[in-house]
Order: sequence, then C-alpha cells, then structure tokens
Amino acid sequence: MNYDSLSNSEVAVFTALVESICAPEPVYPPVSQTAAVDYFDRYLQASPAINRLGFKLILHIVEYAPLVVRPGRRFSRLEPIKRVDFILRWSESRLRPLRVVFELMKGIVFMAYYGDDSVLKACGYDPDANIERARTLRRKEGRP
Amino acid sequence: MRGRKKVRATGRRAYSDSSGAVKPKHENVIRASDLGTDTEIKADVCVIGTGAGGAPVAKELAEGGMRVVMLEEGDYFTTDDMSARHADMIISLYRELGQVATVGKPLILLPLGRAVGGTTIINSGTCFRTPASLFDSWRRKFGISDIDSDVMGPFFRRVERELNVTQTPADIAGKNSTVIKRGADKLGLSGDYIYRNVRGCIGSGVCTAGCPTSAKQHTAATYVPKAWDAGAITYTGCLARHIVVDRGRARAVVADAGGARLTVRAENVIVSAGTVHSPVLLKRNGIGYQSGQLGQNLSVHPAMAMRALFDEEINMHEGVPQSYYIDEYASEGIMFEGAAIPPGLAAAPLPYFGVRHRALMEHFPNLSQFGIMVSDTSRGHVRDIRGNPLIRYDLNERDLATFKKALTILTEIYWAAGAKAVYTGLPSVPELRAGEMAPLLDLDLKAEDLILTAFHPLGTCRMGTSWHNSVVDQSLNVHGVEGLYVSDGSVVPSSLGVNPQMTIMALATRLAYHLLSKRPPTDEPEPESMPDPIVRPV
Repeated sequence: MNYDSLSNSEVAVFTALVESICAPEPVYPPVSQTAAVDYFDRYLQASPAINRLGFKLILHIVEYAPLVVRPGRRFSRLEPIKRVDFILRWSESRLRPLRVVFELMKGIVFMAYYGDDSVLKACGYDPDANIERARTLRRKEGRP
Repeated sequence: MRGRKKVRATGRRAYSDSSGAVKPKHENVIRASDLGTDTEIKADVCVIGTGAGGAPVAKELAEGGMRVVMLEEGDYFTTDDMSARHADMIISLYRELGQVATVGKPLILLPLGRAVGGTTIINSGTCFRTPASLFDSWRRKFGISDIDSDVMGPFFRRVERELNVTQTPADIAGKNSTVIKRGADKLGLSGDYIYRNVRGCIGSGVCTAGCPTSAKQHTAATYVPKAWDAGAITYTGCLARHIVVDRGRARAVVADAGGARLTVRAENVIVSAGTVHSPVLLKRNGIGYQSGQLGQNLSVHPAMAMRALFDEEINMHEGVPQSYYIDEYASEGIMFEGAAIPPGLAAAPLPYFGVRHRALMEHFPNLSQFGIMVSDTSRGHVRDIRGNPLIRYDLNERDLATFKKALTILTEIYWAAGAKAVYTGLPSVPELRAGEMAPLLDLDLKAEDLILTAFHPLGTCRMGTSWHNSVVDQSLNVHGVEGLYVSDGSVVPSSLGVNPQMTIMALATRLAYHLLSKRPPTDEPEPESMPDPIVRPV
C-alpha cells in the first residue's frame, strides 16, 4: 500500500512498534485490521516539516539500533519477545532524552491504535453512535 | 418592579436549554487563499485572532458600529466537522497537532487551538471569574489599580450572559465526577460542580475534540457569528506578519494570505494571537520590547492527571469530562478538576506497555481520571526564533513541592472513594495498591519525573502601569503605540489559579467598551450563583 509520508520500511517499523507497545489480542483487533498505520501517515503528513523529519528519524533509529546496541536483526525483523526487550531497555534508559522520546513515541502509537474505530468500540466507546445522537438532537431542536 | 435587579438562572434548566443558540444570518468568512492576488482593504479595526481575546472585542466593536476585520491563522469549522474522535480532531483543530511543547525541566505539552474560535473550540468549557483576591494581589505587586471585582463585574456578567455560563447538573456530570465527589466528601474537602459555557449540553464527553451537539458556547459559536451579523468579516488561513506603525500610531496589518498578501488598513489594531504568538508578532515588528517584559513572565498552570481503578463501572467517556472541581487547597496553589477522556486518549498516560498495559485498557470501563492544576510561581519566556516561538519553562522547587502535595492529596481522595489501585503518572511510582501511600510519600520527586501538560499560558505581554514594567497599560494599549492593543492571555500579569477564559473575555469586552467610549453595561443580569475560589496570592 502507498502512503503519503511513510516508506515501506517505515511502515514495517511503525507496525512492529504498535504490535509491541499495544500487544493487541482478542478482544482487540490485530494492527493489520486497524487504521493505525493510515492514521500515523496522516498525522505525519499534517505535522510541521521538522517534526515529520524527527519522527522518521526516530523510526530509522529504532530500526537499526538493535544492530548496534545488541548485535542482531533490525527491529522490524526481531522476534516479538526481543522487540519487547528492546523497547523495555529504551523506556528505562538512563539518558533522559531517550526516555522523553520514548514517551512521545508511545503516546502517538497509543493514539494511532486506540483511536481506531474498532478498538474504540472494543473499549466501549462508539463515536458513530455519539455523532448520530448529536445529529438527531440538532435536527430535533433546530440547533446550528 | 422598578429597581429590581435582573437575575440570570444558572441551574439545571438553564444548562439544558439550547434555545438561545446563535444562528448567524450569513457566515462572513473568506478563505484568504481564495483572494488569489494582493488585496488591500480598509476597516476601523483589525483583530488578529478569533479566540477568547479577539472574538469578544470584535463582536462588541462591530455591534458598536465599527467596521471590523478579523484575521485568523486557522480554518473555520462548524459542528458538522466534529467527528467525536480525538485522534482525527487533533489533526484539524490543534496547533501543530498538539505537538507544541516547552523546552525545559520537565518538557510540558501545550495544547493550543488553531481555528476560528482559537483554543475555546478545544477547551473543556470551564468558567471561573478572576478570583476577587487576585485583584488585590495585582494592586499590591504590580500597581494595577484600574481593575478590580467591582470594575470587572459588569463585563463578567455580560460575558456570562452571552455564553450562558451555568452549573453542570449532577446527572450529566458523569460517574467519573461521582466517585471523586464521594472521596472528597468523605474527607470533608470543599468542591462543587463546574460552571461551563454551554447551551443544551447532554454530556457527549468529547469537549476537547470539538462539541458535536453545538452545546459548547465557544467563540466561533457565539461572538464570531454575532460579529458577522453586525458586518464584521473573518479571513481564515491568514497569518499576520507585519504591523505598520507610522508616526507613533498603528496604521495597518499585512498578512500572508495563502501565497498573496492581504493588507488591512485600520487605525485600531488588536493583537489576539495568544500568549505564545502575540509576543513573537510584536517582537518581529520591533514593538513593545522597551520594558524588557515582552515574551517574559510566562505562567502556564502546569497540570497532570492521575488514574484509579474501581470495582464499579465508571465509563468516564460518558458525561461531561470536566464537571467537578475541588478548591480546598486553591489558596496553596492546587486546583483539582475533572479530566475524563475516551479510550483513544486514555491509553497514553497509563503506565506500562505491552501485555501489562493492554490488561489495564481491558478495564477501561472501571477507570477514573482526575486532574491536578498548579497555580505556578515558576516563570518562563517565549523567544522569537526567526518568526517561530521557542518556549522555555522550568518548574521551580516550590511548584515541584506543590505537585508532590497535590499527588498525595488526590491519592488520598481516590482511596477514600474506594479505588482498588491508583496510577500516579510517575514512571518511578507507576502504581499504588490498597491504600498504599508510602512509595509516594517517600519519593524524592524531581521535575524530570513529571509528565505534564499545560492549558493556560499567560503573561507574556503583561499589563502594568508604565512602559518600565509592562508591555500594555491598564487599557491594554501597547505602550508608546497609539491604536495598538493586545487582548488575550498574554496581558494577564500572573498565574490565575483558575481557568482563564472568562478573565480574558471580560478584559476583551472592557477593551471594546473603552474603544467605543461607552460606559460599562448596567443592565446585565446577576447570575444566581458563581464560584469564587480563594486562590494563592501572587
């Protein structure tokens, strides 16, 4: 699939991050069945250019860091348990900037995954029902 | 009967009544990019920004007979554009997709709106007047003597009537508030349901993603359409760059208009670009810097939230997200306010990741969230880096200690409410169980341990008595430039301790009356009730 901002390798890294950070399992749908990557692509496209570059740089660092920090494979090709181990070490880094970057990336990953309609509904929130209720009310009462 | 004061209802019926909603006769909005060519227009007033500072003054001046042009950097959104999905609306309504942040210890996210309506379109609708005690502080500390509760009273009443400021009824407040109130009541802590600018709110739970029922009375739903009906025009997608000052007087504003240039010739210019951008605009134009205060004196009301797990279902996405406050400790700089959010936003601030985090999210229906807001003594600044703001802010030791106290109190409230677990939001103490306090009390809290957001930046073009100590005078006129005013949070000289939109709007209304040479309104109804927390003096 073609994305406006994300290359294929960046998609692979982001997908791997979502799988590791969100750990979807029934009740929650797998990442491939959500619009999480689409959302991140839209998010990047709308971001200021320097921020977009920053996020892409983070993805590339995440992808290649396991080769440097602990010889092995690229992040997206690691076994799931080794990805989790890498993320855990990142989140507990003694270097504050790395921890800050982790929190920012984690926030976006969670927003992309848990902002997906099917995941929202699995959590008990139906945005379509909310909008439908609102529209009915606006029609009934003649609200702007 | 002659002499009987009019009283405006602020109870349940008034909260739920949508009948007074504004429906403009026509939307006087022009996308600047549609101009296609360099354009020059004339007006009596050019207002830069359509949020809490710009929209009220634009409306009052337009209704007072002035030709008003409003320039807005963002786009115009109607209720039809609201999707009830935070992830989507962050892209549409938030400046830089919510990525605006301070540089310092700790990093603080600063969600700001960027649309017709400014930040009022994405705020929680919480309304407090400037605490009466604060005017005394401003007089003592800054010599500000022209405004106090009596002077500002008529303007507050006018704003509150325009926006239908009413109290959240308990049955729409949401279970999230119920559990907090239960805990607060058990501990004997003072609090109440929040007053909000709404008409016909049903508790959709998505205020910060834009109201889908047209209930929230943000400025794009109220002041801006009323300004249109009085002849004002709004240009969107329009970034003000240059304020023309000639012979000591503002003469025009030149703005980027989607590739072309829009020049508004006006002898009154009102800068309402917000606390972060107003000082940058003035600095870029070599205006207002003489006191050394331009861009300085930034306060932000740093905030964070805690979560708790209950056996009972809370479903915090149902009901009004910010519907209850606890002001017991407001005099010490701590305000607790509701901060319920839907799952799309709730995931990020929870501790852990992976399987452990997912297990928590599976209990989303049983989660509660409540917020801490500190009336900060820390001060930062905004610098202009080639037309872009760099926001520097470091939390000082005093505010850090205040946060620690607030975290402790809120934990106690949650235990009193019957929580099974409390999630502190601190990476070093992510979870407390079964009445635990020791790990929190024993923690040597550092600023970098905190994950903070701030919603109320103030102070960077502060009001004062002379050009030696301030950027604007007590009439919001920029010192030394006739016809140039600032009307937004940047003029507020200190941290307020309460949500600032009423203060900003009342000051804006007062400015309009001043420009129209009108006496303050005398016929605005007195609200049945209005809160007045005792906040920390400056």
